[in-house]
Amino acid sequence: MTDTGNPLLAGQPPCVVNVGIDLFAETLRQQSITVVQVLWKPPPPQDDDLLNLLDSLI
Amino acid sequence: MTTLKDRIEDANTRTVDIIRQGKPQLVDVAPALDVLPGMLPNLILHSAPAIAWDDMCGPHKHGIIGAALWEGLASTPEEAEQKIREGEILTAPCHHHMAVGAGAGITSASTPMLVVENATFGNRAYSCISEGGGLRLLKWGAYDETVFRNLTWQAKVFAPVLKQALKAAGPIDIRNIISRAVEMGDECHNRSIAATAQFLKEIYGHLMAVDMPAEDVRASIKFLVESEHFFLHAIMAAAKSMLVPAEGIEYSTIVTAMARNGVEFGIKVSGLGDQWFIAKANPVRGLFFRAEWNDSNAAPDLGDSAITETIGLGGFIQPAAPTVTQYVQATMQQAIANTHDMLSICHGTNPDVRIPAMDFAPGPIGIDIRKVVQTGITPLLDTAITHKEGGLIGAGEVHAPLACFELALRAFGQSLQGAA
Repeated sequence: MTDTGNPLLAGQPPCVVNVGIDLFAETLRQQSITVVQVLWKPPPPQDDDLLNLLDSLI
Repeated sequence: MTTLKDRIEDANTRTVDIIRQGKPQLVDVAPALDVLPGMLPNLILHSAPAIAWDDMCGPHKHGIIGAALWEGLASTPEEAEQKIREGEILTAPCHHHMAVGAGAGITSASTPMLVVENATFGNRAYSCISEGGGLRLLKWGAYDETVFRNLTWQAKVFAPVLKQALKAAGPIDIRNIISRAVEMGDECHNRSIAATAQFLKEIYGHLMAVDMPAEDVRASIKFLVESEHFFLHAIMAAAKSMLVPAEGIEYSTIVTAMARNGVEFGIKVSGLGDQWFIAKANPVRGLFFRAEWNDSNAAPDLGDSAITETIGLGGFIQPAAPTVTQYVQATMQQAIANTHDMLSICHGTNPDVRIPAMDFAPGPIGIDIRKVVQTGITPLLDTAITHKEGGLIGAGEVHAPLACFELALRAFGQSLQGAA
């Protein structure tokens, strides 16, 4: 592995946790790097009225 | 003291119990005019929600014109269109007549309908019989002489043969077939070959004994054997029959129908009566069957077949049907994650639908509009891709639009204010 000067990348191959868009994880996998993919999507934008209504219903 | 949240939870539990208790049975085949409530000789049904002629997608327009020609309501496409505009030929959603139709959902007076009875509650629901395999069918909004010949053969030969066989067989238990099919690799929407095979196993002996011309019986058996999606339409009618008794439960936020007309996506909610809540339909992501087709050819999401997801089948249990994930180049891990997403927006689980690849975990059932809006996760549907001018061109998956759930939730809030 190229010495980047980054201690996190020195010595051992990195193990990556990728959150969200899986394209980044897939790109690393294609380079034989172990990746744990966490499925996550940002919550949708909601207006205050709807959030207040939800609070009263759930 | 019972809080509003308790009332909603109780109502939702009751709603989901009613859906789960349903025992749909295939009992008959008959022309739409004879069995559909409110059916008329000049009425042509399509997949919901209701939509004006000028706003309809290509598959709807072509399918309705095709049905008008096949029924003899018009002699040319131009005459059919003129009669539709003048109100001489009427159109309406299948759902408004206790029916559901795959794809464009085209159903006219002579269409043979599968008759499904929910034995627990005594109500009936209907779906047109499958036209078989092929890319150009009326249900995909395509018509020509071959399509018309097949429709006429189905109405005059196949339906009477099947009717006699069903009479001899007695009620066919669709819930049991669904349970077993899910264990055999169907998710009962984009894949229903195991369900169809089980139906064949139950009906085959009775078909052989039908007292009709041997060539008609042989042709009918050949058609069934070659129609691997045949039973999907029975499953759709079964789902409708299970959901109707769950409508109209005060305080319930459970979805009782989802349907798409190629332009809009609509949902109904148990506690909100007959009203549809509508948003723009999403494009379907998936595999095109020929290299010449791509996203630019496709109509948006189309068909009443989302009734299968409404009872927790199809896209809700993708891991049950690994082959279906190939349409979207997905993995089993993604399919399992999708089911976990659907679990997070549902009120409960269905012990009759167990997913082998998830250690036989019961599938999700009972979409709760509160949870959809809270999480931003919308129902995932497995579905076909229809050409915008008619014809089947692919298969894949699509998410319901969030906006119709937000509209429904606001209406639910307003209904509470009205009741207070």
